[in-house]
Amino acid sequence: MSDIASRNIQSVFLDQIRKRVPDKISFVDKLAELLNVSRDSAYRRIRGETVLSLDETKKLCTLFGVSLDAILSTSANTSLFHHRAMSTTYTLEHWLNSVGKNLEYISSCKIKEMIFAARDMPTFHHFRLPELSAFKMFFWLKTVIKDPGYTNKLFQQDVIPLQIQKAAGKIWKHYAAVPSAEIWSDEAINETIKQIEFYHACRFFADKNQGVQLCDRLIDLINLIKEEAKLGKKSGGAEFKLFENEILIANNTVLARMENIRIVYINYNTLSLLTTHQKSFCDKTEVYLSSLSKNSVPISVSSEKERNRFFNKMKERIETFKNTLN
Amino acid sequence: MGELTDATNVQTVFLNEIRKKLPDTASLADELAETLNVSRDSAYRRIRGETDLSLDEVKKLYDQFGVSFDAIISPNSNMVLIDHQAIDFNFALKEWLQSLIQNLELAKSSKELDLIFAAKDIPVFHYFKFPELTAFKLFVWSKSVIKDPQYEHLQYSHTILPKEILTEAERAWQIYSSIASTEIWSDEVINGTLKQIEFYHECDFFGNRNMIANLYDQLIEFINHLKREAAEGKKSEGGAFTLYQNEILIPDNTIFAKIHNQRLVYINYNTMDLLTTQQESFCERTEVYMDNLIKNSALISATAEKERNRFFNKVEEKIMSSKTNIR
Repeated sequence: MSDIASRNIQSVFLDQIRKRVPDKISFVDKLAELLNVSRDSAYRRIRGETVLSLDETKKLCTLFGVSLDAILSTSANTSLFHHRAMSTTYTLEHWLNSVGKNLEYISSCKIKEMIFAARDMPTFHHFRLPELSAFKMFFWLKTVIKDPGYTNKLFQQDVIPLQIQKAAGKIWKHYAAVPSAEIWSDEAINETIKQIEFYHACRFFADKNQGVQLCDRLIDLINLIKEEAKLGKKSGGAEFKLFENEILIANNTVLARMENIRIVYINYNTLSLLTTHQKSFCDKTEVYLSSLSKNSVPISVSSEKERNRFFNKMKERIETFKNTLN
Repeated sequence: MGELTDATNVQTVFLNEIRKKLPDTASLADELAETLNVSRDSAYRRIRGETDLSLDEVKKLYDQFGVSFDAIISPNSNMVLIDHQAIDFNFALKEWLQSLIQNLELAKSSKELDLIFAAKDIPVFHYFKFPELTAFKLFVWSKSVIKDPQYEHLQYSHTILPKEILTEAERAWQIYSSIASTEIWSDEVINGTLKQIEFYHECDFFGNRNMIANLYDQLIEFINHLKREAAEGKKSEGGAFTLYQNEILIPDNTIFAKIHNQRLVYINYNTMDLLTTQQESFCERTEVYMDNLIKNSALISATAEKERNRFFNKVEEKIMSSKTNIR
């Protein structure tokens, strides 16, 4: 939006609206109709002879989904993000369905790819094993969002309604069909271990062996992912590249590339997602992720020794922790 | 956020939002007249809704007062405008530090200040009191994160960074240390730094072994210093220091600030970059999130000596064990 300084905001704004009106329809007529003014008055607004009132601006913003803030803020460093935060009002089911729809769309594209920089193991992987999946969701509901319905509940797998477990399973199914590259730190399982530790200490498990069982499932999952890394393929058949990076992954970021669209997802505060299409931001993230992968050790397909070392280290950590639970 | 009904026009609501940002003693008409460069009478006509604000005028007010138009027309919108400040060759360390100092000074000048950190890594300001640690952190960023070509073939030494950079960093620490902050730390707060030392050791990026020993000694000193500040509930330069620990709920580094009645959220992105927003609904949600986080965390400053010792001892043990492993 570098041209803003030399042009007035009203004409930049109306241009944005014009772009959203189908070519077949006359923009002037449409404007006149929407603002309930004559064709002449509409022209005067387009030529900038009449000031567009803020009520009119609001009407157009709302109808066409245009952000005036994005136009007002001239910095190339500014991007518009869509924010999805799970809360007691925006439920887990909403969140799962919305993320599921995104993945379904991505997987339906011909050309597609997702790149993860993962401080914590990408959430989708947990959704493959029902017990682990249910535990993660229970933790979010009871401890992160503090859904009052879960305050006095103890964890067991069937506490999570079946349709929610199904929604999560679907997410994995879509993701397994999208070629992806994941860059993991070896802290990728720490978060889940801590969550199990915390629930064990607080006696939030209905069955006292639950902690041990979850550790076993986590090891199953690690074995599953290790096998996929070895094959370079996910269970859904899509390509799977895995990299290890010990020091440079600061948070959880995803870049999705489809035909000619790019989207960046930033995971924030556990369950909040910030999403943007903005070119400048996607560019920067792309550069960041490509430099990150260049500085990471590939551990899929080749590099058997590094792969074993990486996964064994995680398994040992889980085993050591599991032994403290008895 | 004013409730927006059909009976209220957007211009009135917009100007009311600006009024809220002014000190009680200031007059909206005067501020408008000055910002828009119009007479006081014209300013009044805009306030009374007799003259329409043009979008160019809205822009001037937006630049001056940071009132979001999007938030006014749909307060519950999920669209958030975020400023991304990335550090790279063009925005180098020195500018980064200067912009940090500017922000801290702005915070310091605010009468009512609220600064809350949810920290997976110890907020970097704390490091800046210790020159060797500062040099190491900034060297790792330059060499491994930004990949500044001038550091590509260099090994770390305490004197590797220009002196003016260290001076700026210390200045940032001084201001930070003089203002109040509430910090919620995960018990992994030191892991990142330890990994960096271990990694640099493996890659042979240290000039000699003494430097590594020295960094570990400084880290221990650093932790003891922080522990003393926590015990007193006060940072060295007088700012109140409220410290909480939370073992399980801190996934990343987020800062919530209320400065001069303006709420801001900073999200740490890709190690050094900052994502910043003032959008009302987003700030509101983050504030609620932080409140909840504090409720679920254990206070370890000023009181709770036993828990404080346990926390800092654990951090110290991690440092010692990393030091032993590296031999």
